[in-house]
Amino acid sequence: MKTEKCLVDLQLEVIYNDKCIMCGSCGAFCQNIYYDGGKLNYKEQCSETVGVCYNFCPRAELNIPELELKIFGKKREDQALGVYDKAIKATLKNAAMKDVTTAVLVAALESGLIDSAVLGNAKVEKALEPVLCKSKDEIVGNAGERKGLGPLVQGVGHAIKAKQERIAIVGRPCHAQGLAKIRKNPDFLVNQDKIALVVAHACLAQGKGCTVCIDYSGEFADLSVDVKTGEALVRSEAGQKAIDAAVKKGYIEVGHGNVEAMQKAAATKRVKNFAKVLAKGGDVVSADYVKVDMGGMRFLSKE
Amino acid sequence: MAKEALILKVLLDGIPRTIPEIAASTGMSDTYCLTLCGEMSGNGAINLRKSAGTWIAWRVNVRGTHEHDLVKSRAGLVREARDTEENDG
Repeated sequence: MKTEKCLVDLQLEVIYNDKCIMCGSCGAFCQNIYYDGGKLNYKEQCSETVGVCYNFCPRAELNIPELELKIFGKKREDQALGVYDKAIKATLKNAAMKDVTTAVLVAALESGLIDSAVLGNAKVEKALEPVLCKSKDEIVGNAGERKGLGPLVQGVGHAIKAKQERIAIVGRPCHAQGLAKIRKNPDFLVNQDKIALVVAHACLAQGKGCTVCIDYSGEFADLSVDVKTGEALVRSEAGQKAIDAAVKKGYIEVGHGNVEAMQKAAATKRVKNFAKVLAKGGDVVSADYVKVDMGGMRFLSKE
Repeated sequence: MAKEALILKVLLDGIPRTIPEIAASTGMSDTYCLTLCGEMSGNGAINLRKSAGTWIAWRVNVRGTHEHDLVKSRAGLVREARDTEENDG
């Protein structure tokens, strides 16, 4: 559904409200928004009243149960980690692949499941800058986790413009949230069907907009990976196919996963940061039958 | 809410305002207000110009009675006029 809000609303509610995580969702399909030197910039003061920027931003509105139903067709049973089909432990068998995620991407590329991947540029330190990788060497060259925040989703927009047909992206949970809104928004047709595989790395980042994030594992990705342990959650058919391809190529081997550690980290982040979300809720927060003035609640809690 | 948001809210009606006016509305010092407006104009969020020694900031209005609505209403008037002409003809 289109929300009749625009760049100004995004600026007031997200960008100047310390909630922006620079994921790049707002500017992925808007020519007015661009990122330069780790900052969000505008070419002009846009007069569009129903903006893709607002409608694609994961911090603007994120109806998690509704998105889960749209993407996975079911609601979560695991309250900490979201909807997933299978928990696995992936172990790297081919050291040339550097890590599990890279192995899965290379296998997906070689099997024709994807034709390009948007990754964080290895040449840029302390920030995520998207780079489009079309070959095995490029993917391996940009393997690994990057520090900082960055507009990877805009890289997907550029890849679609560059006529890529099956695009993969490796990002953080926030990127997966933005992409979920993009993928399941029938009101803004931006060739989002070209997004073939979303891989999210488990995240405990503490950037400016991260304090209100309640997603640890990347609940809207096709595949969520804890890079340090190799524990992974397969959430969709696309994720399963990519894992199968990597196993078939002999890049990784897969065993039963143990999600206890992930569940614990996710539950802690979810509860801790949701309190901050509530604290940010300006006027009235509604839950079930009741609407409560948060100013009053804050006053009472101080008392 | 960040100070930038307060500035933006003041400028949402599209009317240009001087820095002291904005500073008074948002409860910050003129110097700080000018610094923030400078940053915001740097990334394109608002316009900032100096006119006869006075800094003036404004933003294109997207709310309420906006040019866009005026254009729409004018378009409506033009259509009505054309309809009338056609009917007369």
